[in-house]
Order: sequence, then C-alpha cells, then structure tokens
Amino acid sequence: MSDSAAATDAPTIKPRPTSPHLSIYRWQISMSLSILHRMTGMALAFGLIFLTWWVFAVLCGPAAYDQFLDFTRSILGRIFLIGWSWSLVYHKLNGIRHLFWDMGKGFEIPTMTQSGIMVVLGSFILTALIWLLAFTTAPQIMGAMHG
Amino acid sequence: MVDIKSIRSPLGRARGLGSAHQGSHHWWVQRMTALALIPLLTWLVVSVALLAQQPYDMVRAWMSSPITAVLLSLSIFNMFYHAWLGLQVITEDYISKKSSRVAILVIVQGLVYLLGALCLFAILKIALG
Repeated sequence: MSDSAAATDAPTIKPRPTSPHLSIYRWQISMSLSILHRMTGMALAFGLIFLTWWVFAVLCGPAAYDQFLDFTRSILGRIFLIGWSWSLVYHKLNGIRHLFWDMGKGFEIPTMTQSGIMVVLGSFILTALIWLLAFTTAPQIMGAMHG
Repeated sequence: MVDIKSIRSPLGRARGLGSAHQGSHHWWVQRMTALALIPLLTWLVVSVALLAQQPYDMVRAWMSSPITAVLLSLSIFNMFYHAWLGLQVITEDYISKKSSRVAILVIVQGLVYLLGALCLFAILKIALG
C-alpha cells in the first residue's frame, strides 16, 4: 500500500482538544496583577541601565552629573522616572504579597482580591509621596542633616 | 519492601534536584534577594528623593560615606541578582525556540555582569577616593 492511498483512506481526524487559553476566562484582578508584576519587573530591570548611568555620573564629576540631571528633567526622563518609581513600589508591594503566599498565607479568594486592591491603591499613594518628598525637600534641610 | 509511594529513585530523592536539575535554589535565592531588597530599596528610594534637589557636592559626599557605600553596594548586588533571576524565568516561560532562548539568557547574563560590575566599581572608586 502506497503512502498516498494510506492518506486518502485515513478517517478525518478531529483536532485534538487543547487546554483553554486566556480568552475564555472571566477577568479577575489577580490575572492583571500577576502580569503587571512581570511587566514592572522587566521595566525595573531595564531601569538598571539608568541606575548605572546615575552612579557613573556621580563618579565622573559635576559636568556629567548635570548631563544626567538634564535628562531626568526632560519630558522623556520624567516619564521614565515616574514609570520606574511606580513600578518599583508596585513590584515591591505585590512582591510582599507573593512572599506571604510562599508562606501559605492569604490564598482565600476574598483575601486575594482585597490584598490586590490594597497593593494597587498603595502603589499610587506611595509613589505620590515619593515625588512629594523629592519636590518639597529644600537643599538646606539636607545640609542640616549632614552638618 | 520497596517504598512505592514515590516513583523517583532513592538517589534522585536524596539529591532533591527535581526535573530541572537545580532543586529549589533558583526559587530560594529569588526570595532571599527579594527579602533583602525590601529594606534596602526603602532606604535607597527615600535617600534618592531627598537628594533630588541637592547640589552635586552633597550627592557625592552622601555616596562616599561608608554606610552609603556598603548599603548601596548591597542594594546593587541584590537588585542585579534579583533582576537576573526574574528575567531568566520570564525568558524560559515565553521564549519557546531553544536557540533564541539560550541566546537571550546569555545576553541577559552578560549585561547583568557588565552593568553590575560597572556600578560596584563606581561606588568603590567614589568611596575609596
């Protein structure tokens, strides 16, 4: 029996069942927060390039530091910094949530939803506080701190 | 009697390395670096916010103080280590083509080593003069 004969004789095979994908699930907060954790993590990893620039700018001297500051005060720099500061706070708060899960705590669905909402609200509040701190700290206060 | 509760070989169970041959080391270090970063990054973020409006000399003086140099080095080490582990997991989860996956893992590791070394060198040079 040739190959072509075998092919025509073979009954049509129905596609095998595959496991359901994302599209069939009803949206719930946990799934968005989970993917956000990874996305903020990647954003923060990318931010390490910027952190390296900061440390090197301080090493290289006032001119290099001014160049760095110019970037942080540009629109792009502001967008990056606001994005990174929020990502950091979010990733940290949600990371603490993950550490509790690792200890086997907080798995009940109402608790998970509640802690998720708290993480999101907390991330916005803390990010706002960080920026408030940055903009309201006058140079002389730090001067006094360092004597 | 042979213990039939597990189909794993006694040697495999004693080693405890599992199917990935790495055991829980990766998972554990990810958690340990995360734990270390909770206080370290709280300190760093508050410090950076306070330094945002300061002149260069003040920032340099802050960075060259012994406490800052040590805490900043620890922060950098934990951040890069944690980022590396996280990027590794993401790459392994989403990049199914083996050649691309290995290529990305190698690039990520190289960048982490390079940027991490640059940061630590800069901090030491500032602190030690």
